[in-house]
Amino acid sequence: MTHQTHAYHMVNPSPWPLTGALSALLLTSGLAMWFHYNTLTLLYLGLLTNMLTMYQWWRDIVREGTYQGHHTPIVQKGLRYGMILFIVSEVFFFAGFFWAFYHSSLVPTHDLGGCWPPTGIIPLNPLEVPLLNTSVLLASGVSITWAHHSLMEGKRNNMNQALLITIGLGVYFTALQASEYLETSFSISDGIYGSTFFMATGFHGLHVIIGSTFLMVCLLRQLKYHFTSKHHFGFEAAAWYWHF
Amino acid sequence: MAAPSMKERQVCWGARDLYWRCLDDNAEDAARCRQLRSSFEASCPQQWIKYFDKRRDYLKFKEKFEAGEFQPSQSTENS
Repeated sequence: MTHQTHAYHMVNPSPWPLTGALSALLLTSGLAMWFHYNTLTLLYLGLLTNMLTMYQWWRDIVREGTYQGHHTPIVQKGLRYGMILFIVSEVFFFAGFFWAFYHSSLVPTHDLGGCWPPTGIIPLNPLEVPLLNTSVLLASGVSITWAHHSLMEGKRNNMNQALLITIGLGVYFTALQASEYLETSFSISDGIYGSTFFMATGFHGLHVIIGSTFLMVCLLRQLKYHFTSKHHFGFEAAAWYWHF
Repeated sequence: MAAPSMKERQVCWGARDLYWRCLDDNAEDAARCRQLRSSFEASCPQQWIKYFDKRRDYLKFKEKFEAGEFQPSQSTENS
């Protein structure tokens, strides 16, 4: 018996879980050092080791799946479950921030003046740049669906173009949102309004950046012919994340 | 406990207005407005009394704030 008689993937030993855990330690202690002692060294080390771990771990997964053929249908099923469960956990993460916002804004306390927005806060007009940002993201949902269908239909040029448009819209959103951040008359330390505003939009913006990066990796892989019309789970995972 | 009727609400708001007018005229000296305070407490539901007291504290704070009495501290200015 020199080969396995099942279709699962027995992964070779890898150092990346360990380097990932160590990077998490450096990140957390780095944050504490930055907050309390105004020094960034440990945090930079944590960010570096974290980026390196992610790059090498995911590179190895691409090698195992695309080049070595380990991603059989049953393995792909596991990957699907994994991505779905991860996205569900992110939904609950955001649920917390929405809870905090509604808790404070639906029954504003006395110290805010019994009103929302609180006394003294000049909010951004939601029908200006924020509305544009909404339409940008909705349009990117359309373009990524176009990309997916093009991929499934074997239309290579269409797929490349649609994916590029999706990424472009993501970058456009990020640039617009950054300019909005510079426009606000309030900061994260301006009471509960500032806290809920920047926590919710901040984590959302981070997720847009992560999603855009995931899509960029997919574009690079697509240009290198990694995806087939029937097997392209990396792209599907990125699309699920993007829609979320 | 039934919610106060329109008449009861009018009496309560009226009592509150009288009490607050007395406080305005006497520079917040609660001792000189004791009678109006007890008629206020007799006319209003408990929860409303607590609410009105907190509301007055906030309005007094707001006056001071808008007059510029609270300045940001020098030590945390650039953080």
